[in-house]
Amino acid sequence: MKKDKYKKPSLPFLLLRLLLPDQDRNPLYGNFELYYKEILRDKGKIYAWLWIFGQVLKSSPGLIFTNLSGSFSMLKNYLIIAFRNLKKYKGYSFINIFGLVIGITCFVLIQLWINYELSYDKYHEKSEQIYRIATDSKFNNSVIASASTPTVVAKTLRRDYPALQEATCVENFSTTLVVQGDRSFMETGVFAADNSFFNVFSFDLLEGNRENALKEPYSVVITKSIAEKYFGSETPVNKILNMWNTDYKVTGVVKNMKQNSHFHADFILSGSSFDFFSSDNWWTSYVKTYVVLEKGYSYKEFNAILDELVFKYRNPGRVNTADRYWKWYLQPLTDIHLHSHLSGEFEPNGNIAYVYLFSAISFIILLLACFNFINLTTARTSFRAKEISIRKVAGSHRAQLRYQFLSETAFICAVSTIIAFAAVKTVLPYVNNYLGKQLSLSLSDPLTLLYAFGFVLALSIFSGSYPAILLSSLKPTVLLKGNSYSGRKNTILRNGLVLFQFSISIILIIGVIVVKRQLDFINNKQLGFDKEKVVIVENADYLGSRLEVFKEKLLKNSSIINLTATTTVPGRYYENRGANYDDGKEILLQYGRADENFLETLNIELKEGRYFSKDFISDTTAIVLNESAVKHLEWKEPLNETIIVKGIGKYRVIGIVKDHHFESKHQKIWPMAMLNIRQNLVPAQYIAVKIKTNNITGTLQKIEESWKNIAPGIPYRYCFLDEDYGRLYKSEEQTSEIFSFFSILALLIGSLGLFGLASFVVEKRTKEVGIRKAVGATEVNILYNLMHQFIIWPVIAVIFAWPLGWFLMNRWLQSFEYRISIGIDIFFLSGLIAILAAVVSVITQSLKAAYKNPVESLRYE
Amino acid sequence: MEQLTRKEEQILLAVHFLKDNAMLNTIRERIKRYTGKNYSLGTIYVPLNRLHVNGCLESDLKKVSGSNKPVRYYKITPTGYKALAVLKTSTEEMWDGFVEPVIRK
Repeated sequence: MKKDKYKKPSLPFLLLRLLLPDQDRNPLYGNFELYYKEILRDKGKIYAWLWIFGQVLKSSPGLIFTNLSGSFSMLKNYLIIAFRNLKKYKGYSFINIFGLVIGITCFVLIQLWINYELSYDKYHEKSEQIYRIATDSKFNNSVIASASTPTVVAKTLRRDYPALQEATCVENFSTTLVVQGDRSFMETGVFAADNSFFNVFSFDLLEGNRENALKEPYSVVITKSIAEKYFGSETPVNKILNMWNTDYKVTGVVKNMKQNSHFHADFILSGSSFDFFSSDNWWTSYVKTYVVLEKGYSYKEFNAILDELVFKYRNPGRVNTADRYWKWYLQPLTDIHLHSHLSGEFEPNGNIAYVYLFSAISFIILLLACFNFINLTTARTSFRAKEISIRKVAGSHRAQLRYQFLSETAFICAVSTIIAFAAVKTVLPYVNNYLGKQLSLSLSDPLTLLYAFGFVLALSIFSGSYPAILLSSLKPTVLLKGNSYSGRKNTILRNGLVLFQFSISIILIIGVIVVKRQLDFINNKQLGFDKEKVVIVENADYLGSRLEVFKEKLLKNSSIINLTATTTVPGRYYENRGANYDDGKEILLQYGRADENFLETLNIELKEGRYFSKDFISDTTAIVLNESAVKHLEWKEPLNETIIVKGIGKYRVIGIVKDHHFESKHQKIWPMAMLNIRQNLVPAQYIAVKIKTNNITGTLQKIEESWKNIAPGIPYRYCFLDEDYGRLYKSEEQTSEIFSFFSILALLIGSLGLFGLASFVVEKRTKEVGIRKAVGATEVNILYNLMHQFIIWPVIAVIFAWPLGWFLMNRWLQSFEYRISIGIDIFFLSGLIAILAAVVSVITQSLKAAYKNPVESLRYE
Repeated sequence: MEQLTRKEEQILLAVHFLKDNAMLNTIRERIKRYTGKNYSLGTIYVPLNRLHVNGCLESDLKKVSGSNKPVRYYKITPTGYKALAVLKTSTEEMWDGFVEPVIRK
């Protein structure tokens, strides 16, 4: 026969190779080849190529199916073997599974949290079209970044720009007393919004009409739980709630706002009840304004429209320059929770940086657990050696062995994942409690199950590939002869993984220490005022004329050092307004009003001039500025200068106070002013009382008694200034705690892995140790011998970990206005902790081996 | 003993009539000729393999001139013939007395 020379088309045949089941591969390959040759002869190369390709594609489902059903028949055997192996080596299996469970649980929890944080505000139907208008302004050196805009902006947008779909104004009030009949409660979630509120946000109204629930003045929409709280099971509609001595009629009930929103309203009052909602002033009446744009409208284009507004109305004719500008711009609603940290936010928001950080941590922990698995499994190859050799001799292909070990890994991963899910479910309520969020893992949701399945698959492939390849490559001849298996390449990888684990742990430890120290530093930093032992009594504005009487009564008490009536205290809301000075120049001031005892009570230092005094009647129109304000105003001789606070009046500067942190210490100290409460424009809300350190409970009781005597109908509420101020840092404290927790967990996983490795190595070398002891080595020698190969890794790990750790922590510290320096002791400490962890992990096994009787270890059956 | 499926029946019959020449390609050609169905190699292979595993067919690897890989040739086993017999009787019983009805308008 003539030898036909032909070229096989590579692609289809390559594909074929992959698809064909193992047993029949060669014959089937031959079948296809025969066809190819025949058609090549009859119809030519191109036709043949196409035909073969088509055939391969058409056959692929059938071939894959055969492949699988072939595999499934062996699967039962593999799973039985896997199960038996787990039981036989209970200790190692436990370590493996335990490490994986920890890793997977952390991963799932963090991913749930990330998912939750990313889902904020997305439940609104138009969430992709809703934006908030924020303010960005620079004025010489002072920068304003605020979430608020004047109410007139929304009004004007509605009137002049019909392209806008909806606009609404929302504002919140500080803690308010709500009265119903003879009951009253202090409520924190009191908001006001205009009538388009429900057209922008998708809140379900259980009772009442979306279109006009907030139309009439003095109406209020409440949430379901509020309705139950105040009215029980009766319908609340048309009933009355009283706030600030005004009656509000309930016009609707709304479902409780979901936790993953950037604001939480319990009461929504109608905006028409308040003058400032219909104000035409472009410099005051600040609220949060939300707009709805058309789908697909680029919100950056809208910013140009906002610039027009500024140019036309607020600063007529004034062009923005680099040094001095006023801009209103759009923030997408869904970005607010993670990216917005402006002043005037409804609530402190989360941070996208943390999302990234914890996402990275979750993967790292999972990675560490996987590395543990890989290490332990590969180290134990000698235990499976006999089984593998016999399988090979009996005719297993390498692919089958790979498949076997992969399925074993998959089995272990599946078991670990199931346990981890159970663990997550159990722990979730506590986690939710701690965080104040509502994470949930729904096992009945098919999407979750799909993710879980994919996760187990990915995890098995990642962790199991290397062990599978390794185990399937053992040579039967070597093993059956009785030699134990030890590979050079094996050890390198194993050590590399341990090195990696310890480097990561050391970096995390450095991070934890630095974070802790930075937070402590911030906490202890000079505030500029005394926050200890100051009691803040709230609701003082309800006392009316009884305020003075109350103050006098308290001052008579010997345990009370001093007190002051004020509209605000450091850490709480300071009103802000623009102020004019020097013929047309402008400054934005945060201000509060207080009486003449404010500085003394809080121990704020005066720099120049004097503070308010009862002796001077003219002091009612006096103003005291802080250093930052004076710096901004650029006055050489600030005393006796005049400032006009917009909407309030003219004030004469009588004194300068030293800068103090009236807001969180993270922020720069903005220009601040104190006005005299005696001007009687606004009542004082709080009385800050400085008390002596002894018998605090007694003093508190006395204050409460005096209050009850003077104002029996008004709830007595108080808190401590240091706790109240500390609230600003609560979320950071929490984050630092969580971070520490996960770092310790990472170290734990690494140590667990090391423990497993150590047990194995020690067990393998039992005979060797026995011989050494018999020949005359001391326990210490043995100990050193066994341990030094493990301890060396943390020592080497620091070489990688220290520079990286320093670099990362430096970057993080840059984000702070006031920061610590990273001392050398931190590095030494972290290295020490890592070494200690390593020592603890290996020491039990090493001691056991070192003290074992050589007779026992050398006994051989 | 489960009933043979349609494809299995066609394959077994093809193997019987192909005698010594029963391999994947030729079976496919014969089925194509008799039923007009252009099944892919995979489609034939699945039931063929199933019959092989069942024990209804036995196989041999023989070298063929066309390729350098040995190709599988199939032969029916006694079990296979038994299955065919069962199928034949049950089919005949089911078809017994079948007359196409005349539909009056």
